[in-house]
Amino acid sequence: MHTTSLVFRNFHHVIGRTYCQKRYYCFLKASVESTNRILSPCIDISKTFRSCHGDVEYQPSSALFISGKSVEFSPFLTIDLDLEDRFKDLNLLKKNLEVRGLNNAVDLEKLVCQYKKLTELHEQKSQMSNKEWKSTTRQFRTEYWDLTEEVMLMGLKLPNYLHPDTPETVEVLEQIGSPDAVEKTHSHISIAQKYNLIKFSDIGKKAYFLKGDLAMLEQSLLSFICKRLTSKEYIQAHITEFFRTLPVEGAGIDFTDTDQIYLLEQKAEGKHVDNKPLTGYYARGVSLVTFAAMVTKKIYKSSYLPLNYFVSGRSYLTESAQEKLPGLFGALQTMKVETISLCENTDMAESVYKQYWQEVVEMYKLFNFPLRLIRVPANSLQPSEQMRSEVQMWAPSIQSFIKVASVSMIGDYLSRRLMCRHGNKKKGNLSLLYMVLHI
Amino acid sequence: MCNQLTVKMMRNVLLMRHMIQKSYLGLHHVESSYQVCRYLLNKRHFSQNLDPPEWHRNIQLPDPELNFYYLVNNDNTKEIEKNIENRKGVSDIHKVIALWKKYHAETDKEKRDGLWKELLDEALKVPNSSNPNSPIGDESQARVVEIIGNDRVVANKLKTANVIGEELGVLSHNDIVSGDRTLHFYGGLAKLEQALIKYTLSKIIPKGFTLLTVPDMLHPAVIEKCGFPTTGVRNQVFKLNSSNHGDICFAGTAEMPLAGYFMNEVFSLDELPTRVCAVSRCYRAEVSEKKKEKGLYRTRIFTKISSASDCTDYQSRRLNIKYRNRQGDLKHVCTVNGTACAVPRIVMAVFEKFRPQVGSQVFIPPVLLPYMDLPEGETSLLPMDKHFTLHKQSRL
Repeated sequence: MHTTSLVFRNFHHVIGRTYCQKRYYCFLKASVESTNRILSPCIDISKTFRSCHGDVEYQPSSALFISGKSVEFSPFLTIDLDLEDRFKDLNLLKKNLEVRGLNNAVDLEKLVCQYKKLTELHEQKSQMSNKEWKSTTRQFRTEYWDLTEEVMLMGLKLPNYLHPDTPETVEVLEQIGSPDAVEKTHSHISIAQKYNLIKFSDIGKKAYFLKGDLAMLEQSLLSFICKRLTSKEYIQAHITEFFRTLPVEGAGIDFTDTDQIYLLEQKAEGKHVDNKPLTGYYARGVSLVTFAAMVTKKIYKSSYLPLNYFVSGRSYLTESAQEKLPGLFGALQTMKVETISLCENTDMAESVYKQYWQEVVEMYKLFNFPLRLIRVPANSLQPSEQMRSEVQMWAPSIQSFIKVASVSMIGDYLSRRLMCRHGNKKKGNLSLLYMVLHI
Repeated sequence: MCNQLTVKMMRNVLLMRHMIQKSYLGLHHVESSYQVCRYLLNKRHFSQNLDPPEWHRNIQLPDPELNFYYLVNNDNTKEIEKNIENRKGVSDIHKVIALWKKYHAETDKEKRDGLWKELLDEALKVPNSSNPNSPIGDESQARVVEIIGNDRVVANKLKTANVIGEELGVLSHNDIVSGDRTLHFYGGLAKLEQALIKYTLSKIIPKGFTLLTVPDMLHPAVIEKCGFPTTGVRNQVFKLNSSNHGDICFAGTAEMPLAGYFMNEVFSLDELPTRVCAVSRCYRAEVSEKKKEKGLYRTRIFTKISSASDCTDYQSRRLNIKYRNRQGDLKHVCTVNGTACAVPRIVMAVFEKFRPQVGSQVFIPPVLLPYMDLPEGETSLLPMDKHFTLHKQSRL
């Protein structure tokens, strides 16, 4: 019996609005016109095939990659991990994982082995016509899809390249001013209580209220930095603080690890749907995730690069993600200003990195506090970073330098994961974007 | 590496460096070891004793002190019932009265405790009384108090603020990455938001309001004591996954953390009235069925400055906020909460009022210009250059 499959394209599912097209396959006879449930019928034979031969039970475990065997969901974007290039120098990749302390996170040998198998299968598939592919055994197709998913998910865990200037131990670039010239003082906690400037509270985790002049100082500091950035023609943006899984995973955060990021509760029809990649909703605030959300699936015009954006607003860190420092130094909710520069290539990114760094250092010199400028070691880098330099300010009460600003080389990490490019699509000359992040 | 070097070893290196400096020998490898040790010491876990004590104690929730004299007085029952109906409340005053009588008739202590809890739960649902000047009914019954300025009269239909924002390139909806009903502001619109905040603060702070920064992540009890439910189908509160993060909610308005700020406080008479304001991000899990309520009008995450609705002593009875009168008696304060500036809706008004019928820019109200950081001579939001296009397919 010949059946005609009709595809209902329903973009807005009830459960927290998944961002993949959810397709309802309906096999009907020719007299389909009598039903009044058709929204936008179209004949899609290839989707018919997947609905017959895919896996209706399949649930994706990543927001960035969805297996070809999925019947219910189709991918929102295509990732480009360039594994072939990364595997060209395995020793370098091994060293990268080792110095970052990520040996246990990725089984490199297994990944390489599976990748080779996948390459062979892919060779076979690419030599088949569509008809031949559809007539292959279910076992072959399942093997191909499963292997692809395994390789892609393992590949997504690989960290960014390591910049050659990233040291293995902390490298002090410069020290400005001397901590010895600054007296040891009481902590800001006792000063705040004495002058009634901060109220610490038990109404939330590490809750605090800045009062009066101190609250005005916070607004003034933010205003000062924003004005400075605007004068240098940075474009101000205001992005939300909550994100779907896509930009979180795109920024290299393990969204399943709730020690690293706050997971919001979501229910549909009385049941929890928080923990599924496609319905996950996270609170992070101003961070690399903000820019990941901003650049996803955008094609920028090359003539505008380097393009600089900045955002200011709230940042929410979990206790594990925040530094273990006392009082406000270790607060979980803070106000931040972050900038990102979108660059055409690595040379432009390097040049912007140096420029950013100079600007940051000049700005903090204005405060006339002792500063220390360091390059962090590889084992302190985020997976998305190739290199990070920090400005640290002397905190007299704890007799320690604490990070107040940093500049990170992100390279093409976000571009590859979130399908953002620069160029002209119609002319077919799209290239990867390279990024520099400044906190 | 921190595990390999104990704190004691690190301090020894520091001591050695100090001694070598004293003896002017200056060995380079000691210097680098010193730097490593200082870095690692900076990353060590500081003693938790250095944190404020409030961060290590459980939240001190007060027991509500309701006005049972008013609630169970039969003379007031009809009025209370009518008020519940007008406010579309879910409480039952007759049940409250019955529980009150049962509680006082009960002699067994354990049963009395159970009855008291049940009585409190039921009585807490009774909404605040309504001012006789408040109109009854839906929004169509709202009474105009004053009209300031003139309505804009145009020949043709105006575009909505959402459309204007998108045409200018300063506004985008990005449900895919940020969730439903969330907005991204760019360029001039982000500046307009900041200008609105600065302008509003410049007006209200001279009137005696103290600016506070407020926490957004709160214990749900604080939010419920303000009168906002955090459970049930109708609640609009974003919560963290409790099994991973414990009971934490995000504030839907600064009124909630400000209420927490004053919880358990006792004021002296000369401290009243106390006026505070806060700039905060408001997180509301709103789901509006109305098709018109989308975009800037009803967004889930927005910025607001909070200062006016009269709550009398409804909140203070739940939050234990009191003052001592001249006789030395403790009385509950009355609270007045309000919004000085809800950014998205003001932006809507600016866009729709100040967009000329011909032309693609939006003029900035003159009072906001000093706060906008626009180039000299510029008085409007011009369309932004289109720096990018959005790729709609899943493959390049």
